[in-house]
Amino acid sequence: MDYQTMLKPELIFLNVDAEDRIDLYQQVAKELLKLGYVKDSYESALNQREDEFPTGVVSDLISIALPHANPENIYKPFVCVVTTRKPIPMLQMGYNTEEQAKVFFFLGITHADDQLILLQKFMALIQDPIFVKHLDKIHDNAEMFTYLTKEFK
Amino acid sequence: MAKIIVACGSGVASSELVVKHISDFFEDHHITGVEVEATDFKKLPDILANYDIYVWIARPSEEIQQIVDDKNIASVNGLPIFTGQKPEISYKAIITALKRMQS
Repeated sequence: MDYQTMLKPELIFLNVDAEDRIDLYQQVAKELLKLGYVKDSYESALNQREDEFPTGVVSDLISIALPHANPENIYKPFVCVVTTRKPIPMLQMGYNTEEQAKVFFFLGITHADDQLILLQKFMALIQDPIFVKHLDKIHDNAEMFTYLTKEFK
Repeated sequence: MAKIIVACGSGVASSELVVKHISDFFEDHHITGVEVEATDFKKLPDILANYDIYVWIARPSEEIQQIVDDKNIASVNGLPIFTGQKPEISYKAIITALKRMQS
C-alpha cells in the first residue's frame, strides 16, 4: 500500500462547522460511510478509541489529532483531512491533557505496517513551520490535495 | 539480555514506530544486546513481567502500574520518541535504566 494513494481529493473537508468532537466525528463518519470507506460500526469504534486512548498530538507549532478505529471497521485504506472552523477540545495522546485542535487527520488503516511511514511523516510535518503555515492558509480542497500529495512524496 | 517492551493502545502502529526509532538509536550508538518489542494494551498485562523496561505512549492503567511497581520495571515516557520532539529525553531515561541493570 503506497501511502500517497491514501490521500483522496474527495476526503478533504476544510472549515467544517462542528460543535465538539462527537459532532465532528459524526459528520466525518457519515461522509466516509457514504463514500464506502468505512462500515456502520466505524463511528462508535472511533469514539470508543478516542475515549480509551486519545489521539491528540501537540507540537510547538500546532495541535492536531489522528483519529482512528481498529482495522475491522474499515473497508479500504484512507487518510481523511479535516479542518474545523473553530477549535475542538481534544485530549493528548499519552498525557490525557486537553488541547484545542483545528486539524484532524483521520487514518483509515487496514494493515498496521502501512502506516509506520505515514505516522512518521505526520510527526515530521507538524514540526515543519512551512507546512503548518500552508495548512492554515489553504482553504480550497483541490489546492490542499495538491499540496499534501506533494508533501507526502 | 535486556528486554524493552513498547505498548500503545492504538491500531495505528505507534508502538511499532517507537520500536523502530529505539532500534535505530541503539544501532547508531553501537548499543547491542537489547531486545525491543511492540505490543498493544490488551496483551500487555500478561507479558509485561517478562520485560526490564516499559516504554509507554498511552497512559499506563492502574493494573499496568501495579505490575511495573511490583516487578520493579523501569517505566519510560515514549511520547517524545513518537512525536520526534526532544526524543533525547526518552533515550536518556532508557540508557539510565539499562545502566542501572548492569550495576
